Amino acid sequence: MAASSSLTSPEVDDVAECFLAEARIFQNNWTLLPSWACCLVRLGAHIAGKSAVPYGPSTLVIVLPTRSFAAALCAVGAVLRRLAAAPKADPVGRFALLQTLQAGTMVSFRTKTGSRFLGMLIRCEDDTVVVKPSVGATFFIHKRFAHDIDILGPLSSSLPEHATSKSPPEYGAFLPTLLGRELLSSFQGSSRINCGIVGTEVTLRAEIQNTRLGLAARDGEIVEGTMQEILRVRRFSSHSTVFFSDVFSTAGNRRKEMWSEPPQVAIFDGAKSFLRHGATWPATNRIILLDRTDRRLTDALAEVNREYLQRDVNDVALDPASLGTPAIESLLYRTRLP
Amino acid sequence: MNDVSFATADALYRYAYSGKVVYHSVDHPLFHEFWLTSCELDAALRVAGNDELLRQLQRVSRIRFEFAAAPLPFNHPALLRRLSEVTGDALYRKVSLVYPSLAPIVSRFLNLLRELTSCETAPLLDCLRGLVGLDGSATVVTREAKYVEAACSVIHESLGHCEVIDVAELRTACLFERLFIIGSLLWFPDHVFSAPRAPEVHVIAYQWLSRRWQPQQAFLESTAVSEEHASPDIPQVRSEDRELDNWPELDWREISRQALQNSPEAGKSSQDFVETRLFSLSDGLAVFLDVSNRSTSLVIDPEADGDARVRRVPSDEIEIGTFLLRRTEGGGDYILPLADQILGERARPHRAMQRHWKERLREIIAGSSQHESSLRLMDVSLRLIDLGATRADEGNLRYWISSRSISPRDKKDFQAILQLTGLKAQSGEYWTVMRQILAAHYEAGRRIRRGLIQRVRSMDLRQFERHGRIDIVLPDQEGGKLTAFLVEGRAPERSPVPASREGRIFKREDL
Repeated sequence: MAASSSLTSPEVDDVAECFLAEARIFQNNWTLLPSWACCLVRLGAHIAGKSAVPYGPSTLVIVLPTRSFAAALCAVGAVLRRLAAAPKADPVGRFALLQTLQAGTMVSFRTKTGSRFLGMLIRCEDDTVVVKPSVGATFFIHKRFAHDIDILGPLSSSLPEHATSKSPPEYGAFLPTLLGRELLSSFQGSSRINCGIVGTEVTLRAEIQNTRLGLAARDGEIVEGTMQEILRVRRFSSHSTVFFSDVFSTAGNRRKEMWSEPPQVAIFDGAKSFLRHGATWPATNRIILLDRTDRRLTDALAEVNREYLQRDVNDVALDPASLGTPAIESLLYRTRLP
Repeated sequence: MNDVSFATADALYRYAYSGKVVYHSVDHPLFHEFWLTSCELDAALRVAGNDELLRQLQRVSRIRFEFAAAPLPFNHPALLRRLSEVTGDALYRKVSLVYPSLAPIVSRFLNLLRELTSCETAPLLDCLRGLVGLDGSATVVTREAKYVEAACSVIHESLGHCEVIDVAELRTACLFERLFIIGSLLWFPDHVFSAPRAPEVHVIAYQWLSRRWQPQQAFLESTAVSEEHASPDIPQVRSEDRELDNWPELDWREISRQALQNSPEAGKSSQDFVETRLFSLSDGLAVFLDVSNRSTSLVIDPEADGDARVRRVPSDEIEIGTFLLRRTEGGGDYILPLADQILGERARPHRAMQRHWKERLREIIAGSSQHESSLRLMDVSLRLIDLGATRADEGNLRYWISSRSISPRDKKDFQAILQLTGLKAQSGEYWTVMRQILAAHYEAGRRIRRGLIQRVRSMDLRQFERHGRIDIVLPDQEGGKLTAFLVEGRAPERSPVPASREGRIFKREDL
């Protein structure tokens, strides 16, 4: 059921707080999010709101009784925070990135009429990007519209069979209820990785796609959705969908998978994720989630403490206990920009 | 890795925030006296020296931990398994002869041990019985998996509704009604108390081993440690904690020494040595794995996604928490039997040819005029280089003669070897046969991995969280019965061991 109006107004920059005020979770019936879950959403939003310039990227390390749902909840906070602070389109940066990609990389792109197509990158010329949709003529897109081209995946030798989507796919009423359709439509234009989670894909998929969330709308109804409707994880979405985040497998081949622009916030779900890939995006704010039962907790803590000793500056600490969750322990520091 | 419900996660946070730790002390004067004497003996042995007799004594003295960690009667067969060597007077006589100063304490220790092991009492079990009652339900947690089976049968006789698990199971996101931890809390990982899996955690320990838990700070500086946990009725860990009360850490060198000493090839001077790292596995097992450049092992990583869950990794990079795959029978090698199956009738003559050139090369190395093994290898390497070999260094030569290699990959190297060993006339045939063996090994590896991926895909991954050892049965043409062992630890240093010991799973002595 679609709500008639949003829970936030465009003036409200802290969408995460608005979300928490009305969020519900289904556990036999609809209940408020528990305090630990709210805390994780807030911590995600907090880190996403930090600028890496000029003081260097922030790292928030959280030790928890269980890793379950923590990455997804932090990501929700981070994505909502980044949506509220959505940067202006950066055609120059996107064009520069497209120039580094090989021909055959899958992309989706939006035309002036607002139609969205799926295709593959042919080449970049001096001031033009050449892309070929699966059906129809080749497009020559001027570099000042490069931000309308979303990078979808690694090389493709051929185009997928069902390649076109003339309009953005319709998600449920969940995010429109929170943001309002007008505000949401301003984010629909182009995809970006607001948040990248490094972890076990199958687990994250279950947590993000199968957990029933609700929003208490102003008419008293519950608008139901999942975390996927907020996160719009690229890997869990169809190719033609606008995405806001992505999941990278801990055991995956970084060279193969991490071909895209760095995420705004990187979440490392578990000791192994951090130990293997923690240095992948040196200029990105990080959230490191460590389960107290993790067999490699000691190794990860040793690495965290080593980084902490070499930190560049102290950061303003956010005490999880003050957020109502004394069961978790955290550490915040900034590292030097590479 | 598993499907933990939101409600379960919520409960885990609640338990971490407001869970209770309840302490129960047990006393037993005779065992207390034995414990103190055992500690005294342990301390005396540390300064006395480091020969085999003393090490044997030390292992015996550490049986005190077994008595204090298992809810079993002192005379239970599971505890007495390795005592036969000391129940007689032989050990005492040897010690008196070699170390007369130790004789009084050894005598006192052995007398107390005899007295204790004739007791039918089980103080920890009695305490548990009193706490659980006849109609209650509880989960008993032991420090070591090896106590679970015996504890299960003893507990079920008197408390039918109790289950017994080892502490590794508390890493899963399972919820329990009440947990009963057996032994000093110093012997258990911190998460048992900082991330409890039940609203009530009871600790049953002997009075002199009773300790109180307090939250440990994870970081050098933290923004918050849960103060709620350190409630006023839970005293702090006592400052007079004694080192001898702590569960002995794995002594990698000692495990290695024992394993090699018990090896049938021990003492043979003509052994082929390989560079290995020792890994401790679940169920009190261990294995030496070849960590030279080319060596890889097949592992299951339950945290990985899709096909990456079963993969081959360099043996030296095997991580704690992954599962090492070994064949249950036949020395652990899962490739060789299947490769022979693929070769069919050709297997026997092909393997004979493989053995033949290796034996001749070994003979040439052994016949070198040099005295030291490394110099002999170097001498033969130089001769091979003179014959056209390009990669004949000491390390490669050692690898080529080992049973782990089929043949050199470069034809020039192999031809040089065949020339040196007097097999030049058949070099074409030998090269073809070695390539066929290699192809069979590749095919075997592919089949096994493919079968494993399919098998693991259909398995409940929670098994990997709960159990340290999982049998995986594949069709014979895909590898037969394999076992996945949880890797619990890795030795900090590499060590050379006889090639015949490499890859073989063995029982380790922890204490």
